[in-house]
Amino acid sequence: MNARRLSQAMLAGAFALQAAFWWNTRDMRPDFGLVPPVPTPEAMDALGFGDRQALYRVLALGIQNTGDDGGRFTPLDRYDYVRLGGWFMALDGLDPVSDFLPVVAGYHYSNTPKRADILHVVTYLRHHARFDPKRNWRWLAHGVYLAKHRMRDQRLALELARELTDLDVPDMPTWARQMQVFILADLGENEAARALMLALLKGDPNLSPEERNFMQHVLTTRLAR
Amino acid sequence: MRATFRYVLLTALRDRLFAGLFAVGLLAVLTSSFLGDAALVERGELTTVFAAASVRVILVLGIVLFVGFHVQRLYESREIEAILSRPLSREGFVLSYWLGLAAVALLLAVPVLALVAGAAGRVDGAGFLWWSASVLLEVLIVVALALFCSLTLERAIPSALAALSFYTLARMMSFLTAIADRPGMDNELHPLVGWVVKAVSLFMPRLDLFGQTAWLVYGPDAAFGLAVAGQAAIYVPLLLAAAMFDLRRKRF
Repeated sequence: MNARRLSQAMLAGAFALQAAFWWNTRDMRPDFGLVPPVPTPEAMDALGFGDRQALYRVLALGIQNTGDDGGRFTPLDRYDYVRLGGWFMALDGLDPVSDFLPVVAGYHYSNTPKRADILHVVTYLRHHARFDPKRNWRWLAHGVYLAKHRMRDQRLALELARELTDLDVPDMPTWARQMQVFILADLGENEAARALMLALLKGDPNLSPEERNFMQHVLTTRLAR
Repeated sequence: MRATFRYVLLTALRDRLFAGLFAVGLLAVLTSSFLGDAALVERGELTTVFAAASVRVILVLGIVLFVGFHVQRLYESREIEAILSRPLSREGFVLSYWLGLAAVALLLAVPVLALVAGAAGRVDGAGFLWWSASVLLEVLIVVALALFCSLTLERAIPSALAALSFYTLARMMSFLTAIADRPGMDNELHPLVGWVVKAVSLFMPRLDLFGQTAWLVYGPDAAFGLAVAGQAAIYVPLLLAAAMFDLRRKRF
């Protein structure tokens, strides 16, 4: 067989093999997945190459967009919130100061219709607030809102609201400390709600006249004996 | 020294290094801006961090490749032999070449770093100065590293691979030593591996301390600044001394 026929035979044979390979692998597709497994702290250290901030921004953007990339749009009730919660905690370790991840968790992933899944968001917001209460108390307040109105878990909301009220943050606005009052009232514990509202009214000499009027109005109407 | 600087500068201009690196840096910054716009909040911070991290890598890659191919040309055209035949010691050759390459690399880095400043949505001013200074110091180390590798290996590709591998290892060294120090690893080889890692870390620069993008967002950290300056002041002479030692042993 001369060289020309040999090369033609090689070409035909290689193409036939390629066609057979394509036939057997045509259904093998990349698995985009929804929420990837949470990397270990060691893996994140390795991936960062010494620059934790850059790694945080890359991974946090990835968590924001996960499930909505590659042309997909995924309903929130299909996400694995246990894994998401793991990602929130892990990324907080890279940058506990940034508000990017709390916004993604608190305002995007909290919109899931599954109430049990919202617990992972609330747990993360509570953890994030504890890192720097003076700066992050708003996330605990948002956790109270999610627990009360989205999860409909008044006991959890009360627990978070108590934690919020007890924070040592001198410039925390009164409405944040009052959240506990309204949750107690909703639970039918009016006496406790009155006592707390009175304590708030008497304990802050710098309340504006409008705030005082509002608190007295609540005491004489909603919390009246 | 001036002649070396002019020669290196002419080579860089001929290779379109300035235009090429600036164009790639601009592309990286534009991509960062696009990605930053995808964020729900803190878009400026994300753009700044992406741009800074990618520009840093582009600078290192560009400098390593330029130095590698430049020195390869010196060997191929036997210019290095012609230069060394003059009344110039091998030590003087290494030093003058590093100075020339470093000056060109700094000229190259400044406009690329300015791209980050221009594209940054939100950046801490003092943090940007610290970050830029640390990247410029890193550039000086990378030039010395690339010069050492290329003078030793003489060919561009292996010297670039060696320099980039060294750079990557240097940025990961703190992580590797942390793993080596972790107690309770159920592995008989662990103590030996730990000792080897620590021995290697003795010779590696702490490049993981350089170019922290957190400074751009949250401001500088004084402790890092001293460490960065100290590391550059120690490691550049170390690499140059190694290059001089190796060149002294070469026979032309």
